[in-house]
Amino acid sequence: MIVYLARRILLAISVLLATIVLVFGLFFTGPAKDAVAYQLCGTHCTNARVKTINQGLGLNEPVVKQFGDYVKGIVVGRDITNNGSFVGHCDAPCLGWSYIQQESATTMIKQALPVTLAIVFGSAVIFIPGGLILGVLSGRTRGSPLDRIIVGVSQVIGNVPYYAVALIFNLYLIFDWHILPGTQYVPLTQNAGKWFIGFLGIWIIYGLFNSTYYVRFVRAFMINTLSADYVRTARSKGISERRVVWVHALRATFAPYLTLIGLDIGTSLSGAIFTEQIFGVQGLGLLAIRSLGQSDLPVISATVLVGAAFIVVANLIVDLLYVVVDPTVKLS
Amino acid sequence: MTDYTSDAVEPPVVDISKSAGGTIVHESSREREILLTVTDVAKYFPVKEYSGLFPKTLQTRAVDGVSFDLAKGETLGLVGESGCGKTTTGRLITRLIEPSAGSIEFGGRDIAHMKEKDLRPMRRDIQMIFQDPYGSLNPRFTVLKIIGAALEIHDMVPKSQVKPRVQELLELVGLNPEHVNRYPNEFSGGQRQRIGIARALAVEPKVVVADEPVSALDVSIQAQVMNLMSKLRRELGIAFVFIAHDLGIVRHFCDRIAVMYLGKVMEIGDREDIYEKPQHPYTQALLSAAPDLNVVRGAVPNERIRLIGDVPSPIDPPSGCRFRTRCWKAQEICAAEEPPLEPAKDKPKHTIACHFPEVKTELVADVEAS
Amino acid sequence: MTSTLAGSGSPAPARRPPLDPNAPVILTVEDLKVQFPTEDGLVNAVSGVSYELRAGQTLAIVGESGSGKSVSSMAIMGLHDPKRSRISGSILLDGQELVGAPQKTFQRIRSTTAAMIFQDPQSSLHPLKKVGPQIAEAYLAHHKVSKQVAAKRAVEMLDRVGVPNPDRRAKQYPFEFSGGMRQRAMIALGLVNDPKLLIADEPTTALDVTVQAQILDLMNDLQREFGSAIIMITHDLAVVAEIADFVLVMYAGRSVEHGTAQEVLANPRNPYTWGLLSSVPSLTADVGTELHPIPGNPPSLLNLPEGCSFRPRCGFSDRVPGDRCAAELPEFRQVPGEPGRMTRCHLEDPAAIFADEVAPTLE
Repeated sequence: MIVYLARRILLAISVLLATIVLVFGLFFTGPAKDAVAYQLCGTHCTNARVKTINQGLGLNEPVVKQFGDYVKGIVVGRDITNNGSFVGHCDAPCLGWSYIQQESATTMIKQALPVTLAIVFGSAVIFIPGGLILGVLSGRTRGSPLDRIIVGVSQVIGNVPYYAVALIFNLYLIFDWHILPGTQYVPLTQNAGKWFIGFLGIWIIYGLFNSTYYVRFVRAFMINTLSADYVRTARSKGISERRVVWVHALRATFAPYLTLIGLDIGTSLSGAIFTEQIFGVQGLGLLAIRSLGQSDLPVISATVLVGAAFIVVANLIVDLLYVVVDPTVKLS
Repeated sequence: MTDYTSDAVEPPVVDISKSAGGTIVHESSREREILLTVTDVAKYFPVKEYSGLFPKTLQTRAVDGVSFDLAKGETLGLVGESGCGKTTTGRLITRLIEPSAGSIEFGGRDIAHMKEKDLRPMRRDIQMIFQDPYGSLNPRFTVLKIIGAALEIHDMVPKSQVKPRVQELLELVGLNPEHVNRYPNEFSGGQRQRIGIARALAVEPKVVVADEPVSALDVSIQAQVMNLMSKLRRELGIAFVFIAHDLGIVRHFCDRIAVMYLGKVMEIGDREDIYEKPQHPYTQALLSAAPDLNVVRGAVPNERIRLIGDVPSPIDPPSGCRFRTRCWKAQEICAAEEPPLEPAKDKPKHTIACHFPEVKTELVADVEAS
Repeated sequence: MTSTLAGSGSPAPARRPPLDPNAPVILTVEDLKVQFPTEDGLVNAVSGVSYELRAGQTLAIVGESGSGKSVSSMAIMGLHDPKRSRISGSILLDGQELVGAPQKTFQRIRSTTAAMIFQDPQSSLHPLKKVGPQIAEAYLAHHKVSKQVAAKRAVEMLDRVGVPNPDRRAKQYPFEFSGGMRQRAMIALGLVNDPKLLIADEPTTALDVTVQAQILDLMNDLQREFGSAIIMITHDLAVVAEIADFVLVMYAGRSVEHGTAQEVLANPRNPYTWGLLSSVPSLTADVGTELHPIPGNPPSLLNLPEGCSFRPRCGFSDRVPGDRCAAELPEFRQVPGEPGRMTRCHLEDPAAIFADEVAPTLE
């Protein structure tokens, strides 16, 4: 067990290190290496000017040296200089420096991250149990009116692009009918109540939309499991049907459900662009989009690195939880 | 009932000598025209073990030094319990997988490590029939395409002759030639197995490896397919390697039988040798464990030998004789030394890998004494 | 090194204790029908099965796939979804009518009056739950005892079915068991509430022959100890010979022959049973002879033939005057002059036909 833990953590760390190398390689070498200079000199760029800027920022140094600086920045932070003069300090973990914003990418991410975390984990509180419970209900009553309603609604909602659903729900539920409170971002530390109310609409709409997908997954899995031999064995013990479904059949659903959810959460933590845009809150998604628009490569690379880190961590957590829900995993 | 007391000595049919590696080589093939010689063939599959910080690669010894030969028109049965390596052996002979060691001599050449393109002519000569008649036929192809493809790959007939030839083959295996354009799912399990057989026969093979060809079929259908295979064997002179766990069917179909356990051959001999005078304790146990229908017809039931426990792991097989952990005759030497396959007394064609081989009569005496 | 050598050559049927004709009747099945409505039409999985079983006796139900042997037995346990099946006829288990009974009734009788073990022990145990608790759960469902008592009972049962180190084994997961050990655990689960009837659906089909022998021995031993009646569903006639007192042969959803194992296997009275016996190569018959398979395939259960379902494959229907076999479904009736033996066939003198024409080919 401890060995398994250690091996998984070791694996996660090595994947993270590889990601850092990869991100650096993609964004600071090759065709991307002059991006910062082009960004700074805009339309007046000449090769000579690019060269001068690069020289001033130390971007013409050997790749190995630059990578060393990059890693050093991540670990202990670093000073940003132009032609030897101090521009700013990039605190650890320094994921990059935006020359346009004159700000550390880490600071920008720190501002956006609480929004994204709140969106994803808040809605997870709705869609994790929602998908599971509705999926089980639907699966065990296959063909019944209840099943048809659940499947029908989730099909309709799930098959419309998310931004359309979010927009329509936002317009009707929040603006027109005032069923849900208006959305805004108030930092949790500032006012917990306003923070909660500000996110409530997002959680419900984003959570419900996500549930539709998990409902269909759990339902399909449940239908399969309910005809499994071991469920038949459970039934032939003379235990109640409720116990057969909610203990025996559901137990088998946990492991794959957990995997699916864990990886999805990991992915969505790199930003929920549509949600942030439609509901007017600034998360990682909008940060990434804005940086893309400005070709602010250091910030883009930072968001990529953070997104990758979330996926690695999510994978790790899924792996570790897996040991709890699936005892067969220890050996394989 | 079988009379175990008589121990008639059969005249040796072929001369046999033991080679240095403990393998049997038929020096003379006066009566048997040897098609296939398998010598010390082995197949290890790597398995990852995750007990330490870094995964270790261990070897599953699926087949671990198996030797036998097969003569023209002969049927060799491979029997044994799950995990004994009989299926892997079949796949090695057909070169669906490459052996880790040993040689497989076919048509005067060693095909053990031959490259795919050199294997092509041999692929025609050695065909395989699989257990699952459904899974081994492409559901989107018609019977014509399935069997026709085999004909075309090996240029068996001119293109215009493919359809008539397929129909001829269907008729040979007892299917309606008019069903040539049907898909596999339009046939029953037994009929699908016939299609598999027709496909194997299309290229006029010398050897057919049949891996549990009837075990997925119902009893009445099993008999139909077995009769078909007997007929083909009789009429076309095809040699069979017949892999099965059903001892009754193997006895019905096979001239020679190799009994396998944990990747090794324990005993190999003619049908009478194996079924009536088995000498290896495992063979005896296996045969006596098979339920016997004749009990109700007034036959005296076999003395039952009960094996204790389960087959050990092929990753870490027991030292010496692999069967010793479940054998009631095991002694110190069995753990120390692996018994080679050696001919029985006065019976060159009957070889046993056991330190203490004996005919069953003595076993019965033991029981009575105890 | 230990080895058990059992059976010392007592007369046939060697491995069964003598029958008690006055044992109480545990199960009476009469004209049982099970149908499943599907998109393609009504599947007649069982279209008429009748038999009776007494305490301590073993009945083997034999047939090929689609014969209805499993479906009819699962009906006893109420394991067919009432919404997706139609069941009629009568199942009288320990004095209680089960056809049309509510789920509550089935919950009460499952595991206590009738328990079932299944073909594939690998898939029949919950893969993510420990073996001991899986057995204990069945005990807890029917006894007002603490979890500890139930856990102890589970260990005790594992011990009874010959699982070594039952204390440790109870805390392991099914994947840590071998195939044979898993089937032993299934049997322990089946017997934990001391049921009056144990239904075993092909319990050895997925096992190797040496392990099969262990399990069959175990079932014989446990029956002596627990006195349960056993229904053994199998396609293997040799297994029947080893374990059964009575045999019910089924074809296309109907019972076609019933009698003692000895009678049915040695002197069968139904052409389908003849066909089954001729299809199996025995371990002692002469080699080199052809097998005598039943020609053709079983009928579709969506569309059973008129008259006798076996007629299209039967080689003896011309012995019945007129077109009776094609026109009229034979009743499941007593074999003339042989009380206690039942067959579903129009043949007037099956005994003579068997003796003269079929038996010689079986030698």
